[in-house]
Amino acid sequence: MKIKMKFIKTFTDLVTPPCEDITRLISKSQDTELTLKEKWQVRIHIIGCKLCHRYQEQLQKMNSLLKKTRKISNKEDLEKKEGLSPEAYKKIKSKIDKNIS
Amino acid sequence: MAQSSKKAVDNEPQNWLDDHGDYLYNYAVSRVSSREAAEDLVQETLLAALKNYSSFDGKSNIRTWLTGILRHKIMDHYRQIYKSDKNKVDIESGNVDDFFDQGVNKGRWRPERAPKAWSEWPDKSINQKEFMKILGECLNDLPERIATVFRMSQLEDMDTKIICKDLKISATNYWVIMHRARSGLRRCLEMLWLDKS
Repeated sequence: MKIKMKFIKTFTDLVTPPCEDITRLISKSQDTELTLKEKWQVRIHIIGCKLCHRYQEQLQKMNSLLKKTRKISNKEDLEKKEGLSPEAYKKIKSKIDKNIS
Repeated sequence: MAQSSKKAVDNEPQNWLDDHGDYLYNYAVSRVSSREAAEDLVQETLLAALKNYSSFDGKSNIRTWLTGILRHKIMDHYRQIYKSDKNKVDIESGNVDDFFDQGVNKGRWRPERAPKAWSEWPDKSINQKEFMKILGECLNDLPERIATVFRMSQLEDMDTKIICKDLKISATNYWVIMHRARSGLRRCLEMLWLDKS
């Protein structure tokens, strides 16, 4: 088993670009459709590379968390949060009063 | 009290700050990197609203109208950050912040910077508020220009084409920027989050 993994790893190194390029492609795949060649490079690379596979999974996880966050922050109750500090309130108030009169 | 007269009083410009100031501030502060920036945006919004009050048609609610102005101001703010010279970082420069070996193992993960297993980060225990707080901290750790593009894209959900046109960046540069943002955030979330557990 160990020998097999080692072989796959070496194979990965030989036939696909290094991790630095693969992570770039993984990120790019979230912004646009990859070319067929790029897709295969990623697919083959992550078979033998645990770290890039992790990177891919974690970006996906981040993405789904961000999606949830967007939904919530659209609905979030902005009135319940703390609001302006007294100093900022005073500063803005005087600016506005000047402009109203 | 008659609803209509109450409305008329609510819409008076001298009440805007009291009625909507906190709301506008809270809206802004989650979208920019500092309290000061958010306060300035509220002030600019209210002053712009005063100037343009005659164009308010009364059809929408005054808060919606003010929020619309604020949104424009936030977008201007993003554009300014992006353009500002002091925020220029070498976006095109190849390697993503030392994640990868430059020596014999060129292009491979450096062991101490490589992604750690997130098994200690079970989905269910993630409190959304906590995540947003950590995300905010991590965004502030990124170079401001990079964080700005990420905010526009991932938090404001703006279309890629519009962002590129707006900020005058090429698609290739956009991908590089987003890659740097994601890599930095991934690492930062990992450190802050795993630290807590």
